[in-house]
Amino acid sequence: MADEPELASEHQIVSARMSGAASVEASFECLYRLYAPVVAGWLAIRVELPELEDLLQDVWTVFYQRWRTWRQSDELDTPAARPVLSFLYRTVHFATKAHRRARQKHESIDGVDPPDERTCPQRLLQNLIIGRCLELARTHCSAEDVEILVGKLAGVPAREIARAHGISEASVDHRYRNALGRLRRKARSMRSEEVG
Amino acid sequence: MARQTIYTGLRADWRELLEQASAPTVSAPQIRVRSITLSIELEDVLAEWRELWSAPWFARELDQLITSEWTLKDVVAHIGSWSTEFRVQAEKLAAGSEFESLILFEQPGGPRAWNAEQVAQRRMQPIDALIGEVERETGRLQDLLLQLESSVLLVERPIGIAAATTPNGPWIRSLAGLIKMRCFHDRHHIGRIREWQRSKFTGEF
Repeated sequence: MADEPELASEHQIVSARMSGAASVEASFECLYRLYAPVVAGWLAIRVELPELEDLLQDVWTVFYQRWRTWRQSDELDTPAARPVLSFLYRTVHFATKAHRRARQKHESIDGVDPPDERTCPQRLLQNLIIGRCLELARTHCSAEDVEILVGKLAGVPAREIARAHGISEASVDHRYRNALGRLRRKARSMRSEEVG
Repeated sequence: MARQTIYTGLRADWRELLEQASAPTVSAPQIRVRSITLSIELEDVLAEWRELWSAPWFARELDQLITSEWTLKDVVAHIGSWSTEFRVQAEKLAAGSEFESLILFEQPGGPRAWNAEQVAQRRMQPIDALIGEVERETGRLQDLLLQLESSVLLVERPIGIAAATTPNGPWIRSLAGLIKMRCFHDRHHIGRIREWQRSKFTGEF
């Protein structure tokens, strides 16, 4: 990995695409390299590994379709805005929601499409082990609170998390703080038990 | 201090998770159509509507004319009517059923008569009922999609729409095409509402 060039920031990649300095495909590749681990991480928190592969492809397919006609508003044309990251977060949320909806109906969601190895390489998905604190969050917080938590950890703005979940920005902050508080108490009680 | 510890732990776990998922070289994905990708598109459109419906100005402006004929509330009624229609047509398309009647599109202006009739039918309904129709019908359409195999999504058949100039020649579309139509139509109106709202509130209206 050491010989790979350093990845540009989202703002640099999007600016290059918007100005015509980078093609749709080249800029997509840069964004994929930048955010593939984040998207995989978000999905790993939400679904099991076999389902992750399909959903990973779905998310990048939806993003690629949108990227071909991407428009950047002036207000988002700043390094801090990161609209692609927000779009990916929202799409992961919607993909998971659709996946759960399909499972509730006890219907197979397996399509006939073969896995696209270009966006679903084996090595991206091997050995995804979730650490103790994240596992604690998965066990003791609601699914939506965990999604908010990992959105925040990846740097998605609260406004965009709120938009994806259809709740207010204040609710996002409130639930984030509550989740941290709950985990703090749980970690403290676990430490007490270990010491005791 | 304990709060800092759990936060630090979460951040460390998150970084470790990302490090495990190295990003290899990739080229643009093949465009594939699955129930989930279509459902995501519908959910995305619905999220954009929800953002508009929950905006502080929205309820205040419902009676404002935003096109030459329709108020903001009429546009929501229009979207509701097409949400129902797209769902009905998608069900028939999935079942391979025949369409008994066709909605006729004029050039320009689309299906003016049908649109006017549908909006008039809903004019007395409260906004919550109109929003509810869009939410409910979008959900039903997603449920339908999520029950179907991917192979069905691209099968093209005649749908219940035709050009007014060729009323015996229905348009040919697939389910995936129908969903694209629905999303394109919704986004067209979302864009026009946003444009109207921007113009009005920046004094350019």
